[in-house]
This record gives sequence, C-alpha cells and structure tokens, in this order.
Amino acid sequence: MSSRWICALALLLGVTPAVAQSLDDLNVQVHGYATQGFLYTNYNNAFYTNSSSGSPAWTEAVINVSLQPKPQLSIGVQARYQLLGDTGNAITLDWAAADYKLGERLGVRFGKVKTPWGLFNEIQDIDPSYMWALLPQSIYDITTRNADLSHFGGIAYGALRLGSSFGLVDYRIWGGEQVVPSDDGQFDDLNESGNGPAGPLAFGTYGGALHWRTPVTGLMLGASDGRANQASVALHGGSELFAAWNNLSYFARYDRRKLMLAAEWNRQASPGVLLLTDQPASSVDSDVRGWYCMTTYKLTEKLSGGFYHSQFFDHDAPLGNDRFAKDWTLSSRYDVNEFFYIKTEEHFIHGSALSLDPAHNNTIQPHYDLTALKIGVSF
Amino acid sequence: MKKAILTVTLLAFAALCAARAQAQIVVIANTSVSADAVSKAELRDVYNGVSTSLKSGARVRPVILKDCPTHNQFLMDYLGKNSVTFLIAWRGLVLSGQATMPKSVDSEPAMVDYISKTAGTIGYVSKATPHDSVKELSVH
Repeated sequence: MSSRWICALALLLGVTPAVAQSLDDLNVQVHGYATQGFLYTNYNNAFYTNSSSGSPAWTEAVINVSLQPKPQLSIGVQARYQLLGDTGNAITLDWAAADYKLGERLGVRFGKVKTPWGLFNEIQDIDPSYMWALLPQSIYDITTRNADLSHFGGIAYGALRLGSSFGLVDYRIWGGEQVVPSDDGQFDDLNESGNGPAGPLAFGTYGGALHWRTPVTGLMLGASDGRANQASVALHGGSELFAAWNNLSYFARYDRRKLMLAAEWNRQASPGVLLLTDQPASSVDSDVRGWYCMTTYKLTEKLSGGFYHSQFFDHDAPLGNDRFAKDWTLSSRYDVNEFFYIKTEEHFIHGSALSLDPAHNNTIQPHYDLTALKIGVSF
Repeated sequence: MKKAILTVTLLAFAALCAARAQAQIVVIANTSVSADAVSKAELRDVYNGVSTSLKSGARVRPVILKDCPTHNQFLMDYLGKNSVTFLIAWRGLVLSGQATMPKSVDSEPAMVDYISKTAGTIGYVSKATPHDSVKELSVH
C-alpha cells in the first residue's frame, strides 16, 4: 500500500469520529519544541557545517497536534523544520499516525510511524527528552537520522506481564516501507561526485523489538532486529543495488533515583554494488558496528551531568582513520524551568568515519574536539 | 550520650514527618475501576506511561494536577521525579507518537470532579480534599 493511502486512511479514521464531538471531548493537544545549537571544532568541519570557525547552523522546530476522540484511539501529526549545516532547511512530515489500543497486551499504530529499533530511535530526534546535545553517533548518526526515524506502515505493540517474579515485557512488531531521502548522509560521496540519487531510496522493512522490564527495579534489557529488503536506487549516471540487510541491536538501561546507566550494541551489515556508467561495477559493502555506554546523574533538581563513550567501526572499510570513530563525551543539561533548557557538551574524537563530509573537509585530522551548545524550549 | 539521644529523636521526628507527609496524599479512581488497592510499582508504571492497566486487569488513564504542592509530593513519593523531569519524559512520549499527555486539571476539587465523571481514570488528591464521589485506592 502506498504511503499516501496509509496517510489518507489514518486521517479518515481520525476525522470520522472527530466531526461528531466537541473539541473538549476530542482532547485536542498541541505540543512542540524548538532548539538552536552551536558547533565548534578545533579541527575538521563536522555535520555539513563550517564548525572549525564556529557554526550556528543547527536548528530544529517541531509542532505536534494530537487528538483522542476515544480512550482507545488517538490520532496525531507532527511537522518538523530542520537545518544542519548545508542540509535540511525544509519542513517535513515527521510522523502522522492513528493509534488504537485494544488493551495493554495489544495496540496498533499505522500511518507514518516511528520505527522502534534500538534504545533511542523512537526519540532520537526529540531533543527535549534526553540530556545529550548529540546522542552517541556510533549508532544514532545525525547525518543519516532521517533515514532511520520512521517508516510508512504499522506497528503492533503491547506489554505482557510475566508475574511478579519476572517483570514485564514490552514488544513492538513493525512492517512497511522505509524511504531514504536523496540528500541523506549515506549518499554524501555520491552527491559530492555528481552521481547522487535521482530520487529517494525506498524499500520494504519489518522487524521486532523486546524490552524486558526485569524484576530488578529500574533495570530494562532489550533487543531489536529489523530487516530491510533488497533495493535499488537510480543515480545520476548509474544505479546502486543493496542486498537485504539487518539492523540488530542489544541494549540495557538502568534508572534508579538520580542515576541512569545505559549501553547498546548495534550492527548494520549492508552489502551493495555501485554501477556507474562506463565504469566497472564496484562493491560498496559496509559492515558497521557501533556501541556505547553512558551514564547520567541528576546533580540538582535542574542540573544533570553525564558521560558516554562511543565507538564505531566499519569492518568492510580499508584500514585507516576512515574505518572507525571513537568518542569520549562529557555533557550537562540545565533545565531553567519546565519550558527552557540549556545543554553543553564536549566531545573528544579519534577517527574520521563519522560526521565529516568531503565537501567541507579538504584535509582531515584524525584527532579533534567538538563543542556543542544548545538552547531549547518545549511545551 | 545526649548527642545520641538528640540524634535519635531528630531522626524519629523526621521519619514521622515523612510518613505523615506521605499519608496526606490519597490515590483515587473512578468507581468503574475494578481495584481497591494499587502497588507503588503499578502507580509508577501508569504515571510513567509504561502501562495502561493495573495488575487486576483494570484499565486506567492517569490524570494529573497542574503544578502544586500535592502534585510535586505525589511525583516525588511515587515516581521519584520532580515536575520538570516528569513533564520532559511525557513530552518525549508525546512527540514520538507513543502517547497522549495525561489530562491535567487545575485544582484538587476539579480532580475529584473529573474522576468521578470519567470512567477508567485514576488520580490523587490531598487527604483533606473531599472525595466521597470517587473510590480511594490503598497503596501498598
């Protein structure tokens, strides 16, 4: 089913009961957030910006409208403006979905929905919901974020109680079509050489995730595995073919009073072939593996501090600094009140496999520091 | 010795105050909710958006007070959060399409009134607030 039909169906489901009820009964809610960031690197230019000179080209704004005509049914739509360096600067549909909850054990959500893989994917673009200015880039790469965030299709979800001795399991099963925009970070090299995609890359996807909320208070263990069907995209001057691949994650999180600990491991092995006119076929296989461990601590009611270490490796890349990225990060967040917050973060990075596009970097230093500042408002 | 007695007295007084403060909050529900008691863990799951039902099987929807001492005390006692952390967590769920923000009411009488009229709702008020029209759930 095409994405347009799914959206139309979702809207129809929402509108039909909506016209019969007052706004108050519909529980109409409007939420959103906006952030303005600043990036500075002592070497290299990160995230399509001229960060070595200091760059404020990092802006996001999100507006969300939802309604709940019945306790089991909610409908929502969210639009996003994003600017990151030379990319974005456009308003896009973040998600638009109808959610029907049959009970705690089963709910369904369909339309354009967030894909629930990994520990943070569903909220990786919801800046107010976590303390970091940048999530660990080894798994949540901001330059390819739009490709991972959502899909057109559906999710079935629910929670199963395992008894007081075994806790509770949240499950999510998803399927549909994923669409990767032609300006996504994974096409940087092709776009730079003038051979970029002529249109978006679309492919079927399905997967599942389990979050086990263990009997140990605050401890959650989880895993997710997503499958992407084989796909191809027409390029300006050829085509690129991708074999089917998996997006596998294992993760754990522990929350106890003021302390949060989390860790995640992810692998995305993506075999591919690049066919450019008048050139022999070339392999564009990648086997990327990322992991991180993080901790945050609430120092006062308004101030939180945190640290993470993150590593990324592409096992199919040639040996050298382009094969990996290691990031030691110190971070803090200050909530001025329930609406405004400030984030400051310092990254100590070794390796150039992430964040550095060729158009903004004539030469690359393997060791560099990145400072991220961000102010945000949410409501 | 005097210091020890003083310390013990102060600790006992602090514990008494804490117990008394917690006792001032009562958890209430619409009479349609098929439960007479609720555990702290269940309350935490419901108010964190993790769960929409109690172990008894009763489906519940949380209702919250706007920022006030009763609200703050409830969050701290049962969720270990302040109101800012609570709101931020819910905004994450709302903005990622996973939940709708809980209904928020202006005052404790409004909380009792809303819950008495709305099936499947659960909330909290100070014990001093008249709440005969709703069910009081014991917390264990």
